[in-house]
Amino acid sequence: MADSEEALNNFLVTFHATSAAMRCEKICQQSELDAHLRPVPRDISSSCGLALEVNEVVLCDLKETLNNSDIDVEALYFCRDDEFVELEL
Amino acid sequence: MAFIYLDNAATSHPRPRPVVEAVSRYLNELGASPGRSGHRPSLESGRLVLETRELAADFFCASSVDNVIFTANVTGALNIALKGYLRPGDHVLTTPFEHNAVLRPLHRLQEERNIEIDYLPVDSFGSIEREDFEHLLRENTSLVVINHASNVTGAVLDILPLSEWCGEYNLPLMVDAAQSAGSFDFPWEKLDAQFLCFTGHKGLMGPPGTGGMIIDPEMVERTKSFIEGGTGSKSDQLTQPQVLPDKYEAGTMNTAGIAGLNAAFKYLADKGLERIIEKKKRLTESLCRGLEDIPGIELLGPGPGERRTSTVSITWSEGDTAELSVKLDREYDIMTRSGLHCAPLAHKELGTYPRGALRFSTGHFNTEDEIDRTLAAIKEILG
Repeated sequence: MADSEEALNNFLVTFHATSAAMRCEKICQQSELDAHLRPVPRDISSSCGLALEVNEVVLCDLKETLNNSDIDVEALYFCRDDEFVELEL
Repeated sequence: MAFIYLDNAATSHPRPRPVVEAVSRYLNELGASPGRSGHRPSLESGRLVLETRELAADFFCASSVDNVIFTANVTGALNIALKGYLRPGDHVLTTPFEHNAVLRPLHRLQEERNIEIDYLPVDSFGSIEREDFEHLLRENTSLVVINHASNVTGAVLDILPLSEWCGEYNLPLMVDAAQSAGSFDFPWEKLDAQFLCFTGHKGLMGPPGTGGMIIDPEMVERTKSFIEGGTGSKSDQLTQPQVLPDKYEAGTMNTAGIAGLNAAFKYLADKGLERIIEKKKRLTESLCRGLEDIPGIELLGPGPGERRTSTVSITWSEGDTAELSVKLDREYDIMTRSGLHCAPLAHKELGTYPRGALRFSTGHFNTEDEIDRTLAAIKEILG
């Protein structure tokens, strides 16, 4: 169960602007972190229409990477059973 | 049509093949609007725009990618910057060598917002004296806006000292880099400018309809947006987002053009900007020396061997340079530009108002043979 949960891209990072979302995706690609841009689910309120979905393992590395960049992240959500819970960044 | 194109100060021609192919590839294969939909072609368009922003940020040594704002052209960037930044009653310092892209917005702001304008004396070689600068400063001076290189004479402004003086007085500096970017070797990392406005389709050899502004983040709060509209962000709100770059990029951008600009930056890096500039310098030098030797022809601005862009303007003591331009076009297939070059005050300073001058501007794809043929044509016309 733990392995399959780790593999699930059930964390969603949202941004203030599309440019930030795209920059974040690029950083992930350059660091070989598996991350995918997708439209923000309607149940989440976000400034920018794109969100980055990642799994738990990638999220740890991503947080560290974001701390060393000037990319502004808006919020972080955890998704389970089609419900989104906002987490502390 | 085979002709000798010497009007690169207006727009570069031809453009590098990769630029043309990149525009075509975007229109044929990708086509989607960046930053709007979440589907894969839209995301790929967004990645293309981001990469181009990064290339521009690298070229101009911007502190952050998000400080690169894309506009339709340098005129658009200057309008955003001037009309967004200046407040009623502000005092602005500029020069007589500005293009109408600066002069006309300033003129309108003078009428509508009572801004006051003073013109820094600049000699035709691009030098400004510190004493003149300090003499014109007032308590309400809020901005210095400067043409980096004259589109009439090719003279390059000695801008680094001026940017230091502006720093000492905590005065924002706005630079019109329309004629300088990609035209001569310049250490952008040393320039402390709060607004750097550039065009994509002249020295950078990108497509028309591209350009932008590198804005200092400290200027963003004060500089109001010019156009409000869709940005793909904060869509639930009726106010324009204040985050960069969205604040100044409402509406669908010229993604096809940006694809071409992307290829242009890569072309310059691949071929070596220094080599490109060196070739233009050689061609311009040949043209200058040749023109100087023709009786009745007078060069404006810097002479051969002096610092300049690849723009050279001349007057003709025996006749109308507009007629010369027409003959060069119709009888010799040589393209030049006569008139006031959208820089009326520059011509007043040079003593060539209202008749104007004839401008030649070499580009990366011109050849020595074309320069020789141009000089021969002029001699033939002048008899």
